[in-house]
Amino acid sequence: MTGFLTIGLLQWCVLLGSFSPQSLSTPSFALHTAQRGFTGFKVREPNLYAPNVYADNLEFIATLVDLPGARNKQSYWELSYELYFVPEDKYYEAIKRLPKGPSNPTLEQFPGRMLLLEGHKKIRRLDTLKERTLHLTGVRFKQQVPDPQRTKFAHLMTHFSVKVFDAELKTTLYRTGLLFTEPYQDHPQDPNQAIARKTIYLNFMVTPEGYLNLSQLARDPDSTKW
Amino acid sequence: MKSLKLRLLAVLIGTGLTLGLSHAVAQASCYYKIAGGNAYGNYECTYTHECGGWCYYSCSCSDLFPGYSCKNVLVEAGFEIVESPQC
Repeated sequence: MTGFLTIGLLQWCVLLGSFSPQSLSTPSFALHTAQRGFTGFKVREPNLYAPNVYADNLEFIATLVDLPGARNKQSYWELSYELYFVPEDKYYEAIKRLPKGPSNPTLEQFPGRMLLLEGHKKIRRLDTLKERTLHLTGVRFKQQVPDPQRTKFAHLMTHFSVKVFDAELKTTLYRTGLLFTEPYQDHPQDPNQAIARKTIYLNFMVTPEGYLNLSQLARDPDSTKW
Repeated sequence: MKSLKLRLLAVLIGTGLTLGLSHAVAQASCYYKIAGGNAYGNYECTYTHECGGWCYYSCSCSDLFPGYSCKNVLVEAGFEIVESPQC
């Protein structure tokens, strides 16, 4: 009985330790030791009117890049997605209200958002990259945004919930979250020039270890490499 | 015999709990937002990518202290600056 109590007490300590403020704010490899910023970071110019960096229409490309159980017919991928525009003033008001340091904000923390696109898809055939790609075109953007709000540092916000069952790994993976990006991107040949962003990416990949990777970077549409 | 069964049950529950917690912690490794400020200015970083155990962020800065750059702000905040993801 003493052994039972000892083990129970140890597990309770582990459980409490996992949710202590310190462990929540500094899970050693996720924060100060494992965060990387890209070069090409920018200094914000508040309320800079820039209608030229607003594309008339957006493309939305969600891809399950690869998974160990791609050829197993029991595997499936389910995705819910919403794309919003958040005016610059509303966006930075929300950012100011977030806790200092790392956080996982929720949709409700961004009032004033404007819905551009929403949908839900469950895909049961995952053999090929084409079957694992959801490609939507003609998402109306510029005309949806009132002219005075077409500023350079407004944001596009993707809210997603994903569920993948990998029949090879015999595991179900879930993830939900918010991704943000500006309406512009750097010109490929001249990083000092801003051009309209035309595509929003949402990429996932199940690793052989059973981890669900996430990225919003542009990717080669024919590659299954992460 | 009863005590042995209880101990075995405790070990099984304990193992399950530990594995479950490890999985939950591993899945929640990257935060979607990192925002704050320091002596050099304010920063706001948004998650873009992850690989190899690293979380990659795209950042913007504001209210820079004269003579300092966004890079100074981010390095002070604990970021390592890279050209592009390693994978």
